[in-house]
This record gives sequence, structure tokens and C-alpha cells, in this order.
Amino acid sequence: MSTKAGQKQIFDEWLSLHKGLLFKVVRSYARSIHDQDDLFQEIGLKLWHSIPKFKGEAAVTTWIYRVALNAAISWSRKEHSRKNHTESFKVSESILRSQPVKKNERVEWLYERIGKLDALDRSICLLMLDGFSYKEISDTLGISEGNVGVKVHRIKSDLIEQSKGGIE
Amino acid sequence: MQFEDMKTFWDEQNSELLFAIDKTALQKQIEGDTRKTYRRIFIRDTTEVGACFLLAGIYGYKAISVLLESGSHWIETSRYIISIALALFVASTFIIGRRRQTKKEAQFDNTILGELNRMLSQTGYQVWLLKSVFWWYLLPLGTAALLTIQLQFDIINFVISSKEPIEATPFWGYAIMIGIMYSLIYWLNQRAIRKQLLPQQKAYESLKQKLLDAEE
Repeated sequence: MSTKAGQKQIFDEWLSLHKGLLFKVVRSYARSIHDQDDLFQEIGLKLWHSIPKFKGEAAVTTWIYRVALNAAISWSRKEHSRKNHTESFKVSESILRSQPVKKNERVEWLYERIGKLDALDRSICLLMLDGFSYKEISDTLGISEGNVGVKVHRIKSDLIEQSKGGIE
Repeated sequence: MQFEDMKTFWDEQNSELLFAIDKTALQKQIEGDTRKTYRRIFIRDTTEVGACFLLAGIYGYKAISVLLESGSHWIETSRYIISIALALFVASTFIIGRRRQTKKEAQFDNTILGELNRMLSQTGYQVWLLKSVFWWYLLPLGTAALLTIQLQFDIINFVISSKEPIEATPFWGYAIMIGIMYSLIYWLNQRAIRKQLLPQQKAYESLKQKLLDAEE
């Protein structure tokens, strides 16, 4: 099998098995469907190029999360600067098609809260909600477990505090 | 509500996928973007480094022609030889700088901190490149342009296919023209540092600071 065919096979497999994870990142960092589509393409591109670098030292989920979050943080920066400089929109074919799924109010509430956090806290919040351990979060972020603990505690307290007003 | 409750309803979404992926379109997009990136790098390298090699080649050709035509015209020949060295200096600054930077960037891991460090290193390199543009680009190429003034007139005559050679502009007039052109290039570079690179660097630094704020 050629290298490119192998890369394509892994890419398809990662997309099929971990698309839920990718959608979570996309929904946390981008609001409109246009932006979500744009970010998904960016993540897809980064993921594709990350395949030759993947040596199996980290779990696939951790690796994909790292690539996706890095792409999302970098995309948010570019998006911010694009909006500031009123650059023209990139016109490209849509990759994501909305599915007719009934919206879960509580999940929507969480996304709304996550959307109000800054780019770094969003990544920590996503990893926390997906049940990553302090060690795994620290490996993804590149910071100490102690530092992760401080941040996780702060974000959790904020979320709990906000939920006291009731989930609309 | 406790965090564990939030986690429970967060997990509910795992079974309901809000989007369907058009894999063919995504693959097409990735291939298109990869091609575009390679083309952009090729064009950038060709214009930056290739132009310097082209200049060095023209100077070399001219130096040999002068030697063959008029024998021991060493003053004119040495002007071309110095200009070759200056053009090659600019090209090598590009090549060595980029190689070093690529090597440096390869050391960063793919954690979020590693990615921020990589972006900071990339922006830092761009800032250095533009800040010192006078010393490694404008001064050497400007000097070469002044040393080979006759060649510039020959090229202009060739480009405009003039039967009558254009009247030689006095040296100082030509020097002022080069000075104005290079000042404009310098100003544009410094403006890019102020307007784009420094704010970008500041944003990455504050993100990094935030990431490390509770580090022991």
C-alpha cells in the first residue's frame, strides 16, 4: 500500500471513530455553521498532516484532541485578526451538513458557557467534560499537573456557580 | 448542579451526531490546500532566493564579458565580483535563516504549550527578519545596484528595446532613486512589524502567560 493510501486509510478511520470529538471542538470554538465548517476544514487539514508524525506514544484520542485544539486555538486567533482587518471570506465547498437532530437544551447551555471562556480555558473544559485525567490534560497542554489542578478547579467552580441561576 | 451532572448530560450528545461529513469534499479540500501551500512556498523561495541567484548570474556573466572584451579592466570586474558576493550573501541569509528556523520549530512538541512556543518562535523570526532588513537585504543589494550602475542602464535599454540608449542619469540621481525605493521597502517592513507581527506576538505571549500562570 502506498504511503498516501495508508495515510488516507488512517485519516478515514480517525474521522469515522472520532468525529464526535471533532464536532465538540468545532462547536466549542465556532458558533455559525459557516465558521464551524471553516474550522472543521482547518482541523481536517492539520489532522491529515499530523498522521506521519504520529508514532503511537500517545493514545489516538489524546493525539487527535491535541491536534484539534491546537488548530482551534490558532484558528480563533486568525479569525479574531481576520474580523479586525475585515478580510474577505474564504469561499469553499461545505464539508459539514447539519443533521436533523433534536437540540438538547442542557448540552446547548453547556456550549454557551464554554463559548464564553477564553480559548485556553475552553480546551481545558472540553478535556474535563470528556473525562480526561489531570495527567492526560497536562500531557495535552504541556503544563504541570498542579497547574492543571488549579485551572480545572477554577473552571469547575465557575460552571457550578453559573448553573445556580438555572439552566435555560 | 454538580459538575458530575454536567458531565452526564455532556455525554448524552455522544449518541447524537449533529453533522454529517462530506468526506470526498474534505479530501478534495485537503489536497487543494496542501498543493496551494507547496505552490506558495515555491513561489516565495523562487522570488526571494531565485532572484538573488539570478542577479549573481547576471553579474557573473557581465564580469566575464568585461574581462574578455577589455582584458585587464580589474576595477570594473571587481565591482561585479563584489556584487556577486553581496547577492549570494542575501540568498544565503534567506536559506540559512530558514533552515535554522525549521530545525528550531521541529523541537517543539505538539502540546498546546509547544504549539504556542512554535508560533512565538515563528513570529519572533519574522520580526527579526524585517527589523534587520536594512543590514542583510537593502544595504547589500543597494550597494550592488550602485556598483553596477552601467549594467542597470543596459538592462533598461534592453527592456524598453530602445535603439538609442537612454541618457545616463547622473550617479547621484540614480542613488537618490534607489534610496527612495529602498526607504519605501524599509518603511513597509517596519509597518508590518508594528501592525501585524508585534500584536500577534503579544497575543501569543499573553496566551502562554495564561497557560503557565499557576506553574510552580
